[in-house]
Amino acid sequence: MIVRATWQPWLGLLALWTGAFVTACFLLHQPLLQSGQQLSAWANLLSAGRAEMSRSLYGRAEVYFHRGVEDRERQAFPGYFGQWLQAVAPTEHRHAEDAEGLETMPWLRWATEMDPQNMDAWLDAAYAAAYANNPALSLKILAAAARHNPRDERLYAQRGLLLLHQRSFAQATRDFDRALQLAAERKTEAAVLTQAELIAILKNKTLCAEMLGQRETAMEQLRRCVALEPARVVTREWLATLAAGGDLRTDAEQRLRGMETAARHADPDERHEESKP
Amino acid sequence: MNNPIELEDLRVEFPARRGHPPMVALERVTLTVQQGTIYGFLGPNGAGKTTTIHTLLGFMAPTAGRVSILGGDASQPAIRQRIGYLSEHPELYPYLTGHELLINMGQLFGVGRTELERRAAALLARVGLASAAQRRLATYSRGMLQRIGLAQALINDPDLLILDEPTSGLDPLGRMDFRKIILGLRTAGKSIFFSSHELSEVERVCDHVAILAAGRIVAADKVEALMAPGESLEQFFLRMVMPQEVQP
Amino acid sequence: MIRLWVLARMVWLDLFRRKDPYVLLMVLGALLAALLSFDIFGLGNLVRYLKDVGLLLTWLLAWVLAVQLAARQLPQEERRHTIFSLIAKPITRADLVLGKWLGAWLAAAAGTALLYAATWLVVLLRGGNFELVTLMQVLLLHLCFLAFVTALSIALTTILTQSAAMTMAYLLTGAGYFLAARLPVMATGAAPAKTNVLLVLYYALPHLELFDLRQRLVHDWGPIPAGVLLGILGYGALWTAGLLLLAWLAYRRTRFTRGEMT
Repeated sequence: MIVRATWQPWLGLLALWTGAFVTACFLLHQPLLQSGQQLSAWANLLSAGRAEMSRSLYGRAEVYFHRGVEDRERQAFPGYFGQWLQAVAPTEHRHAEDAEGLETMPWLRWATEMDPQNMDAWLDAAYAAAYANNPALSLKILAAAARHNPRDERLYAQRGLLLLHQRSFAQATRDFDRALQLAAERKTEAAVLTQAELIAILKNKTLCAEMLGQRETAMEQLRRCVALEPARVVTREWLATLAAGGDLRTDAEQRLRGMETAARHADPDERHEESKP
Repeated sequence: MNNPIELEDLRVEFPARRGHPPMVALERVTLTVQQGTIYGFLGPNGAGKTTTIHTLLGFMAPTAGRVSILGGDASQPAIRQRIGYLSEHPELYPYLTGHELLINMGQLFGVGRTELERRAAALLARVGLASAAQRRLATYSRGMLQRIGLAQALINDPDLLILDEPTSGLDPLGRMDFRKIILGLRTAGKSIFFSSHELSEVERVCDHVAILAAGRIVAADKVEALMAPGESLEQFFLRMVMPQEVQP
Repeated sequence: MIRLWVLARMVWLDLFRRKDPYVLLMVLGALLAALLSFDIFGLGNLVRYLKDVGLLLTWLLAWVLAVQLAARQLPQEERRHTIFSLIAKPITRADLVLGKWLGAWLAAAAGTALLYAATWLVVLLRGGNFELVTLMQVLLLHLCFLAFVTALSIALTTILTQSAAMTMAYLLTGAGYFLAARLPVMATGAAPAKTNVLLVLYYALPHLELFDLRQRLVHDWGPIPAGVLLGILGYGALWTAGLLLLAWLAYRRTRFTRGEMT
């Protein structure tokens, strides 16, 4: 004879499960103190594996950016089933457009949750938000990134660019200065900003100075650009234009609009790469 | 007409396993069950009764000898169509109700639904389980499982009924019902072959009896012919299986 | 045919009265609820990741359900000794294998459909939806995949114990899903002898990745051509039939005795 269980054990089981679930949620969002450094529960649980997991989650965001199309590796033999697989798995090279880019956010969010030092994930998330016409969200993401990575010049460069497009030139200038300062302080560590990116920051600073009516400051930035890239004719011409006088703001406004138009029509792959300053 | 069951020099040997030598479970077992009779198959535990029944039904192949059931071979579905079988300690499907068990088992015999419902209702009443028909088998007692097992063995109105310890777990009322059922089946011309430890039951209902001990038939005849005057079947049985012991 | 349906129906009743699918549904519900509770930078209307994770969980849980359910059918009959009652009936060993497979497949399919429905509901609640034709194709191919998995599990139980059969089923389906498609890549730069071995493996292993259309559904790529769909279904049907044939060949000579199989 088997005695049927009544409802009480089920209720008990539900209560236990709920308690375990709530405890897990609490623990995972509480920092665990460890020799002066506050690490999240994820960091303590997974240790070095969290960085790998974060990279894997970031890779998933990349796949989402390419609308589910994964990288195709070289094959030694075509294989009959490969033809069917081509039809089954999406293969066309396409990208997420406009607000579709926000669909990468969950993976980027989890990548940053796993490893808050994954700057690529933070920057891509900020860029996706900005590109979906949500600058407020982009700034919020960059602020969160700064809490975990206060000395990474890339995020100041990214935030400066965002503020520049929002026409907050003074704040943008402060961020560009901070980026350049941190880049200069990297003596023994490998540089995270390339020379081209440094030049871009200086040019953005130039635009800000022009919009604020600060001709000398603008010319100083361009001279630094010329020092870094002497063969670049466009920069020399720009410097010459500033030196000749004329309406600072009108020229700067035209350049800014030109930059924004070029960004909107750029190849998505280039935009995706350029999202990293 | 063929006899329902004919065994001739049946030998069943289990092959050697993991350091154990081969085991001879049955040796030169010969018996015949006649049409329309009740045949009792007795023996102590481990004598080989269940092995005999399993060989008869084709669950295992004999090592030697001849097995005939309803004139053919139990491996043929047409032969099994006419057999009703109740296994020793029937373990049935705990998630089915009694009614569902009979319907499902009946459908495996190809019985139509309307006829099946009629038969199921009649059998459930006959074995005293009409009130428990909608309960799951997991809630049945041992005796109830035995009764529903008997009912599922009868669902196809078999010509030959093979029962392995059918009264195991039954109370006296259950055993009385069992006697009524198989006597009724004999009257209807069916043949019944069953193994049992309940010697009093065997004495009361069986026409023929065979006694198996250590894989061999030690006695096989009509019930009244086997026993000495004034001797009970139990005494005869003990005399056959333990001749060297002093009987009480 | 009626005998097959009776055996299948018994498997179905076993599954749903044991409440296995409801447990899986609760697991899926709990995982999706946890997913929904996670803050994605304050964005509330993202559905693609929900579809992706929901469908992934559906696949994993359905896979587990199919293997567990199919792998216990024949061993459970033997363990309970109900196998004696069954094989004393006028059913052939082929009926038994086919009936058990049919029941396991249909029951796994029903459980899987419940999981899909739960995922769809969560996506709908978030303001998203699945493209219907693609969803039908996804479901059809998934059911074909389940037919393969259940046939494989049942075939393995005719020669292995239940736990060994389950382990092998997981390994073989894992290899069929992850490894088969990668063999041409692994052969890149390999010596000719190794390439030949990999080529043989490539055609010998079942290509289970063909049955997975999830990414098309998640990223709204639309349905696949009908010819490809039919081809993959035919491929799956051939594999399933082959496995059931092997199962029958192994099971028809099995002898049963109380306490041990011979």
